[in-house]
Amino acid sequence: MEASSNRPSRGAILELVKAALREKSASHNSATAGVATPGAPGTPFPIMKQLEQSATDLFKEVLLDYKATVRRCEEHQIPSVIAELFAHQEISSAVIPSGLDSSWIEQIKGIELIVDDGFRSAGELASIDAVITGCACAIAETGTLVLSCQPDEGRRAITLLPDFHFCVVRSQAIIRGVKDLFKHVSATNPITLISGPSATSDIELKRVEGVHGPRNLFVIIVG
Amino acid sequence: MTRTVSLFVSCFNDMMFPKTARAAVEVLNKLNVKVEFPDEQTCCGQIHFNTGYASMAVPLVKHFVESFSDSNEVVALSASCTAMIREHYLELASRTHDDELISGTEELVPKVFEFSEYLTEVLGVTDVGASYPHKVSYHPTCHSLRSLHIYHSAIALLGAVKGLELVDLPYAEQCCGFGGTFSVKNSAMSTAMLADKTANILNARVETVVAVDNSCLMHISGALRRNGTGISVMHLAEVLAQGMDGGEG
Amino acid sequence: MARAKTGFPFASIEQINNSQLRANLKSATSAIREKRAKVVGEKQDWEELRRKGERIKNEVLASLDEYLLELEESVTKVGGVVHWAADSSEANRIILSLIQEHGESEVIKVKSLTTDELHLNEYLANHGISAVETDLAELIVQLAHDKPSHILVPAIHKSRSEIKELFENTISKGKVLGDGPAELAEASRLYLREKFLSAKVAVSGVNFAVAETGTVCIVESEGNGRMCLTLPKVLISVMGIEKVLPKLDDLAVFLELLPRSSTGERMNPYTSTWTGVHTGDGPEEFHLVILDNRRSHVLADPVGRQALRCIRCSACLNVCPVYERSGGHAYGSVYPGPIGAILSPQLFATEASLSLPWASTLCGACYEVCPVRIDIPRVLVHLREKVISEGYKSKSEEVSFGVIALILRSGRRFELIQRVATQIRRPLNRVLLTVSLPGALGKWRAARQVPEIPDETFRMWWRANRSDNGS
Repeated sequence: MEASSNRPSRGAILELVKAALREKSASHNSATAGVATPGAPGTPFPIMKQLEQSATDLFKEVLLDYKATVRRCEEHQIPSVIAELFAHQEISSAVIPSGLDSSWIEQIKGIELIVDDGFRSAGELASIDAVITGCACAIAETGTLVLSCQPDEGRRAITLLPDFHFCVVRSQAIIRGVKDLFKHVSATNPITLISGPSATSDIELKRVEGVHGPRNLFVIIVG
Repeated sequence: MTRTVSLFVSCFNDMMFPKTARAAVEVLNKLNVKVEFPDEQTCCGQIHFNTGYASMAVPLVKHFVESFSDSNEVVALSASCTAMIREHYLELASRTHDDELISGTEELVPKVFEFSEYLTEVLGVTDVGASYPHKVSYHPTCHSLRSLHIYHSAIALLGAVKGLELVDLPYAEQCCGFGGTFSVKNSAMSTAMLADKTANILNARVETVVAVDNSCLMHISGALRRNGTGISVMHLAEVLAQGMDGGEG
Repeated sequence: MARAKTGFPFASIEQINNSQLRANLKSATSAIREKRAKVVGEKQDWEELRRKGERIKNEVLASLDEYLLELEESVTKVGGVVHWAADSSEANRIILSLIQEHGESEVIKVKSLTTDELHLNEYLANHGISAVETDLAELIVQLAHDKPSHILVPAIHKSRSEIKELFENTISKGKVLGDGPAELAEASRLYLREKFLSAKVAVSGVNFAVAETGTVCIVESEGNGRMCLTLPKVLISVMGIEKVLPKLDDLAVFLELLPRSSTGERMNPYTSTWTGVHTGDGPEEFHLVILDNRRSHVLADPVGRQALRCIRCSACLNVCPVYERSGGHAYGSVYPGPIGAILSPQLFATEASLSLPWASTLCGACYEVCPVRIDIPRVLVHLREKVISEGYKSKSEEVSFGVIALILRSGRRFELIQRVATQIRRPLNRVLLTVSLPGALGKWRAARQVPEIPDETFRMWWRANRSDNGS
């Protein structure tokens, strides 16, 4: 369908918006309006603790809070750490993006390793147990992995369908807060922010892990 | 040299709770403050304004400003009235395009203080020498808590009352359900909110509930009495007048 | 006056007496409030963030036409197709024909309040297209032919055993399920996986759309969003005109405000952004439907327009003492709670929605938690005035308020009334305390004692004791 077939509505909406804005907003409130009184009943008390921690330590702590598994190691240990993590899980197949450092998977024994060629169907990906990726950057304060479809991250479907996601994060790529996110990642590609395993809390508000998306998240912090 | 304040009692305190106003006069006098009562005063207009009849509230704004035009400082015995004045009077006055009223309002609004706020912020006093050896809970009324941000004034004043045991009220921050005409237009919901407020007061196991708004206290007391709880309510001013020489009982 | 059968006062009564709902709401809202308090307390710059959010949204609204044009240009440049829908019927027609063009009879959906506003699912069903909700709570509500009762947790009014039974009769026919939440979630996971892997068309809403780059963002927890946004061939996203943001850095501000305000988490599990169409990754076709549906009307009200800052976090619902005791259905709108009380009357102006501005005690708890600082109490009072001035009012109320105002315009008149009342206080108090009373007094008396008229009012006492020396 051609977008231009609703040109009339486009013009009409823009006209209505312009007309609506002819009246300026009503004037404004005091500095304390709508600000909860600190220390009053029901008001959060400021919590100071995060300031002393390093970004990497904070990142790890928040990830553990989300029930992700976290390991720290040096660059040369990545292959053995990954292999060790794999050995303890029921995994028989894993997909990796084409740009992933192949040395990382060298020590994994006894499973089918598939390099994503971009053509596998969703159904095929869904039958693969695990995925291993790098990530563009990570946010400490919120325990967030930032994926942006780079060659070592792969297309979105591969981190969505398998049930185990292993993600390698370099500690220099960990930024403190969300504020500077878009200074460290480009939005030209799709971005996926992952903060813990998939969850829902709909039924009687009990938090249930793992509805869709990997129910098992492993983060390997390097350096 | 003593200060002089004009007392704004509020229409319902004047009519229904003169006890509170008398207590406030006594406390202020004890603190060396001379009290005047400009007798043209009536109502701040919030009932009309909040229900949606702003045009009826405008003449009441004008009346208030005129009634207090000679005042240096105005002490109000209602947090909701003080909030009305502070938050809405300028806007309502400006609807009249009456420059004299607008400038009169601009001048007057900063001079209006709620009673507990006046004591702690203007007089710098928290201990007025009161004595009230009872278990008390403080209900932070919505206007005093969220519009005026004066929660800590009341707590400080109660903390200095001899023998008074201040007990935390569970879910204190939840509205009692009065809301002016809400209590009638949405009476079922108002009753439901009041039921929980009553239950929380009972759980606190106190003898008295204190607040700085008699409108809310009237609503709360209505249920406390109806249910035979034996728990009383008092405006903060009345607590502070307790135990003073020749104090009101 | 005959009791109205529509509107909040009537609709809330049934909910107030629904003990399952009350228990669920109390436990859910207090749990979320506590979670929110913890994660907000951690943010030293929370108030600053709120002000930033307010400022960005105000900037957008102040030049909304320009930002919409910029968004259209950016989205088109990166391969998306932009459609403009003046109202809900036009939006539904556009979405329908896009689906029909691809010959599909089933589509998958990401939870979207905007599509609920359009009643899109019913519209599509009437045209032979089944729109499958993939968000667990929305799925529950859909299977039960019910309506959502909370913006964020739509099935909050349902118990586990109700859901177990529902699933056994629908998606898990032939099985016997336990009623643990994990088992119920697993049942839905299996059912939906099959849908995700086969669907060709997905419909979503939009949390934010960035004008500068044409980037669209969806914030979620379960991963069903990611499934819908990545696997099908065609993606149709519907956005209200107010959802546009200027720049990517502005998006970062809201990615901080939204999760802490809505689910009380530092960050929700999954947030997805995409910028047009990406070869080899995700949908081959992306359509953005920009919807007005009277948002421009809301924009025209200088006080009411702040409601358009809303990012649908539901923090106001979770803190509202009225919502906690009535739930969402009593509001009769896809937008319930405090934000619903100001948005629904402006957007829909149905008779029932016009009662909503009064469904509040103006306690102000909502204003304190709103991440974009919408002064909800102020807008409520403004709308009360507006609704009355447009003629929806009780004549008897207007008259009695007029009389009261007349009395209160004069100290002398007020005093006269006081003297009369105190003179007749004994019989008057007896009447107020015992006799069955009509109208407002009757309603008050139903649950509370009426206070007694004192023997002497304050000004009477002052005149008698103090007015000479004034001290």
